[in-house]
Amino acid sequence: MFRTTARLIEGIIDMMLLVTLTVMVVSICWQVFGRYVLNHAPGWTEETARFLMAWITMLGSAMVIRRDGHVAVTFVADALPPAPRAVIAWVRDALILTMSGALVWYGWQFARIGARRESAALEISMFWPHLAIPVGGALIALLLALRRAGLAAGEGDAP
Amino acid sequence: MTIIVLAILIVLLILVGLPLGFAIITACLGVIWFTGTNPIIVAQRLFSGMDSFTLLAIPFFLLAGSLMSRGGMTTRLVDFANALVGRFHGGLAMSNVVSSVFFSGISGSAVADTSMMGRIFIPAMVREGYSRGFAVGVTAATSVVAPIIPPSIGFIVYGVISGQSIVALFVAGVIPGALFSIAALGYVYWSSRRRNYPVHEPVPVSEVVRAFWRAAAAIFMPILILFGIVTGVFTVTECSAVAVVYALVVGMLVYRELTPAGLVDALREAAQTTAVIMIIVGAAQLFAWQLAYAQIPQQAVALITAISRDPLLFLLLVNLLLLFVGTFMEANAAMVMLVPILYPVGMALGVDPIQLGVITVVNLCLGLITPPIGLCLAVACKIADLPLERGVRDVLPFVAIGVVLLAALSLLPGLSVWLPGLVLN
Amino acid sequence: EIPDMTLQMAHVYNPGNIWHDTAERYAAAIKERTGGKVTVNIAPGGTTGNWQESIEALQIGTNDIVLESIGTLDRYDPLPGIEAFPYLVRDLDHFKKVYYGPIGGELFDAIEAATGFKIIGAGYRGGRKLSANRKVVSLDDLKGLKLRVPPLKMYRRTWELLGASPVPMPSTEIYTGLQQGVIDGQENPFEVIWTFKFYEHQPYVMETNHVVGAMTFIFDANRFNSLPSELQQILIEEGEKAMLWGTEQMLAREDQYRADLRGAGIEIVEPDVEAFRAAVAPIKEDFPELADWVEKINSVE
Ligand code: NA
Ligand code: NA
Repeated sequence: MFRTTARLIEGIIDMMLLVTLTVMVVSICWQVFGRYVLNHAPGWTEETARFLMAWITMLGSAMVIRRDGHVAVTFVADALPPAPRAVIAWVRDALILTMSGALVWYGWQFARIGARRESAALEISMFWPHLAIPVGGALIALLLALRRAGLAAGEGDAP
Repeated sequence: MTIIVLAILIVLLILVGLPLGFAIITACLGVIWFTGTNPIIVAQRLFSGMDSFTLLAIPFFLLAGSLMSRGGMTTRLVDFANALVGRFHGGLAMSNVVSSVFFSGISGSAVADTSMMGRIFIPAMVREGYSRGFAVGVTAATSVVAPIIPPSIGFIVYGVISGQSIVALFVAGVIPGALFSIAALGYVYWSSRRRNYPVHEPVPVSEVVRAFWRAAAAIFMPILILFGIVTGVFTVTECSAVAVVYALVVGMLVYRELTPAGLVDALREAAQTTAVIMIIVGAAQLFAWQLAYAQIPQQAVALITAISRDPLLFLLLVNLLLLFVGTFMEANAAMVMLVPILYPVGMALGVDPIQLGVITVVNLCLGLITPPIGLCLAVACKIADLPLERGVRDVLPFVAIGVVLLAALSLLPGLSVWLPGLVLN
Repeated sequence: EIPDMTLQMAHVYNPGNIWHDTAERYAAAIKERTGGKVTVNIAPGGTTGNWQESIEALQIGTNDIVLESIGTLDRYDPLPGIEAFPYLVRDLDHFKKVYYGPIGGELFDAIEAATGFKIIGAGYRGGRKLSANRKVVSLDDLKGLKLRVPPLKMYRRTWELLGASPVPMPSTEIYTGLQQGVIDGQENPFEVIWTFKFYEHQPYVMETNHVVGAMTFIFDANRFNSLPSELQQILIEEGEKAMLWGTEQMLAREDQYRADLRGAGIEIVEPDVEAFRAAVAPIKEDFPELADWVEKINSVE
């Protein structure tokens, strides 16, 4: 059940990642097209792509967390016998959960500070780009917790 | 003081197994909590690291590389390389080196190069009787030219931190990348003769020409990339987006091997790899802020210039430091953490900023094939199903080539700055 | 009674720049007037963030003072954008009467109320000039000119009305943009054109003087008001003094920059400023919320 839930969430994130990257590419291509063909450089393209990069990073970070897709050092844990290795894995996950909690909490306040300001070109509230941080933090925490719960419930590890 | 605490914390967290980016964020959070600074700044710096127009080139070049391999460009490049150098001793190994050079004109990431070339070449080399270790060594080692020959994620990151022209850095990477590849070819040839590795039937010139034409669209791409940015038709970021479109058109309309499913796969792979790289870059931005906030770069300049003002001695220290750091740290992370300190010192001593950039990137690339944490070496060993320590032996000669190259780059600034000066003025 | 404390100041100018010198002068004066109790740490060159982030860090509390132009606050409210209103501030004399007169005090209070930022002092940045790879004398010469503008609505609208093709771009991209020919020109004060070496790829500099910009010290209003009143007084007095000192420096160096540019082989062009002024007049309609203030500043003699 935990694993199914996690996969469902990942399916949604996956769709968002695909759309986000596509929009980023299209924006920048449109910028080139606008400048050379229409002789009018659109103002929104650069900001759109930049803000989406924050989203793609945070969403993607959550997407790969359950399958250990991040760059990490494993040779210390790998060299240990099973029992201490399990303890280290717990410590690691507890630390990541703490960090993601901090990203949610401080990221939310950061988004609220952003709400006082408009972006220069799109003239949208900076709340929306900044929101990537707390949302990403929450998804990282959620998917990691589901992995742990799944392991505890004997569902086996990812995928 | 801050920097020592921070460094120890980060190393500890990495050893516990935290992803690099998370280790940096967590360590900075700890210091920020302890010093009573408002932790909202963590969110801001992280966001700032990702919110960069120039760094948009990273997802786009990654995507272009993914599309090319799924669109049939990679196999055509390999065929052409085989036709060119297959006739020599160790023909397949030489073709591995040449393919890496072609591919590096498209890809900015060494790990992408290793996994792609590894899947093609390692099984094929083992089948022809090469030792697994040699197959791993050649594949991993020659992949490190990907971030030296343009386009290069490493140079993009260095350019963003130092404010130097990424175009100039790209151009500056051409000669060092070529030198490394030529030396690697020489070693592979010599070593293959000694071990009596097989040669292929020489291919007639007409066949070489045919293979060239089949691969032309792929070979043309790096030329398009360099030409576009050097002549000023596009910025680096725009160029990377155009490269995506180019790869898409060639894969779907010219080679007709790119399927909609392949396109989705390429998008997915690029998006996830982007996240993995950019979370580290974002975290490193936070680290750099912590340094600047504690006025560390100024102190480093004062400290180092008080010890010695000799640029060569400084470069020697930089090489040793970066080689050391590169052995256990991801290249982009190491750069975002160290360049804010090394760059001001180098400038104070009159080192050329482009030369420093080339030295930095080459050092950290070598780190990708040195144990204990050589990402490319690890990927190649995984593909070859070989324990890491067995792969190390065969990669060491290439590391030696890299070290000689670094010495040359440090002593002769012209290797780095001559070509950009020629092309860009 | 002023307690021992450290204030963090940030800006994006490199050591050697007039505004970095101004910041250092301010820091030294604060230290002296408080008998060494208040130290100001300066993070120059944007090392702790670009200007948007530095201003945001005032709200976060990791920065206490940011040195930037008044117009950068226009993301929080349209009012500070008036600093970049084309052909509003006429010259140095008008500049001083506006920013250091009663209207200026009123404007600064209104900006504080609207944005939550307290601003102190106004430093003369000199008129903004157009630099380009072609000579621009009349409005016709601007047709199709791909011109980099700051990513702010006021600049974009100004140059659209003048007939150019504005390309919004962050300042860090200008040099390579000019070098590569992605853009044909940019607009900035002499000081920026000279210190960032934009002239290396721009044979013409036009004295359009479309904006006479004002640098200022920015504080978070709540945090500023919570400081001891004696310290507030010192910060205001010394801030204004430092900005006036920066003004003098800029004035002295502006002619020098012009001569240096000529020495580097750049042609300095006097365009038809009256035609420019007439062409941007309709900009009033794009910013109705600034109308009252435009009227007030215009009427300062
Ligand atoms: Na490359
Ligand atoms: Na290779």
